[in-house]
Amino acid sequence: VGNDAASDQADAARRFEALFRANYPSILAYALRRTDPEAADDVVAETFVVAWRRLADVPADELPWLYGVARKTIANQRRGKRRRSALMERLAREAPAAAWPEDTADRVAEREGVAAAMARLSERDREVLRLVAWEGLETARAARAAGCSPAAFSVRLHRARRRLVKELAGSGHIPSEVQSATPAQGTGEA
Amino acid sequence: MTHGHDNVMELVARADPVTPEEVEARIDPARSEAVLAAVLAATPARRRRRWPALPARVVIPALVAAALALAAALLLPSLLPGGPQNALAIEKTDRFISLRIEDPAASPARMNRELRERGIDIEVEMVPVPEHQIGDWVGGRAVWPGVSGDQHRLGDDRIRRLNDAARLQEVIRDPGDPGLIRVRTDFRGHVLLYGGREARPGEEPWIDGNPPGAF
Repeated sequence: VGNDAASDQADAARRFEALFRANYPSILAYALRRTDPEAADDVVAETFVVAWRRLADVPADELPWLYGVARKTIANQRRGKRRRSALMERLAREAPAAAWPEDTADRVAEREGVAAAMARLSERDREVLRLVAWEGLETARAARAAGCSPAAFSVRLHRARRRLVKELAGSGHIPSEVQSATPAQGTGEA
Repeated sequence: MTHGHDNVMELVARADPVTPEEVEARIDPARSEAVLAAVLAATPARRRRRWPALPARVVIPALVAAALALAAALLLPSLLPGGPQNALAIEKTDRFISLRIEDPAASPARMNRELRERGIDIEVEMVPVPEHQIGDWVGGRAVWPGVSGDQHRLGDDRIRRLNDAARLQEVIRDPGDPGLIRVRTDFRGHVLLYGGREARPGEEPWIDGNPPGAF
């Protein structure tokens, strides 16, 4: 029995190590996009601690599941200390020319406009936009990361897009390429 | 309309604040390995009983008492028996201090003297263990400065707060190699390590890093 337990533990360690090595960069990127670098390290460590302790619950397509754990970890972190988004602070603080040296002034203004508009959305809206645009997940996987059904995620994404377009339009930052998507005044959604 | 929304998503994608190059630059192999080792050391709760959380008012006096006992033992260094050249194998890198027990029969006083001679502020205590654990690190305690009541048994699974996960990276016992323990060089807390030695006649061995009668 003791040998079986040791063998199980060794198998679990091997599986976890493979999971860790395959997903560490993605989880680190996810955390860096949503919090400051110091907190990101904590989020990564905590996410993998949860994965290790709940290894039996980790599905074969593990990345969305890990994103979901990281999302909850960041939410817990913020619940303890409400503050302005570290990401938005970072975006505001960085000199655009240094951050994106190849960018034109128009591109910098676009980035800042989008960041500011996203900052005015709810966290739920931001997260569905980020999962698709930044993490590159398609609907089914993004839904698992967000902890909802694919149908619910599609609705959330549709609404988040419309709200973002509205925010961009309201701030005067909306580029011509998306003006056709601007909702008419008075059609805002709950 | 859909076309416009797709363009919105392209705008969001272009506002991604973290490039793959930045992520790659941020990855420190030593740190990721440390995280991996620390997480693996956090044995799943269902497999490991927890130590009761002891308040600092209990732990710190215990550490002080251990330090005093150690100081008393150090009064007799020249009378210590011989043995291998060093009781501990100590390796220092920029990031970690790695420790192995070379002579499990050596006294803790001798081990602590070797540590101090290398400028390392870590205490070692040798405890009786089952035969297969002789020479292994079987446990220990770490106390972080300025954090009341915050202490960990090394290798346990009590990781409840975000910072705890980071802190565990500072003192690492590799579950695949219990004879090796690593402490980060920038660790500013207090570490007491329990090494395994042969039980003397009549002595009950520690089990799973716990003293006899702990449960």
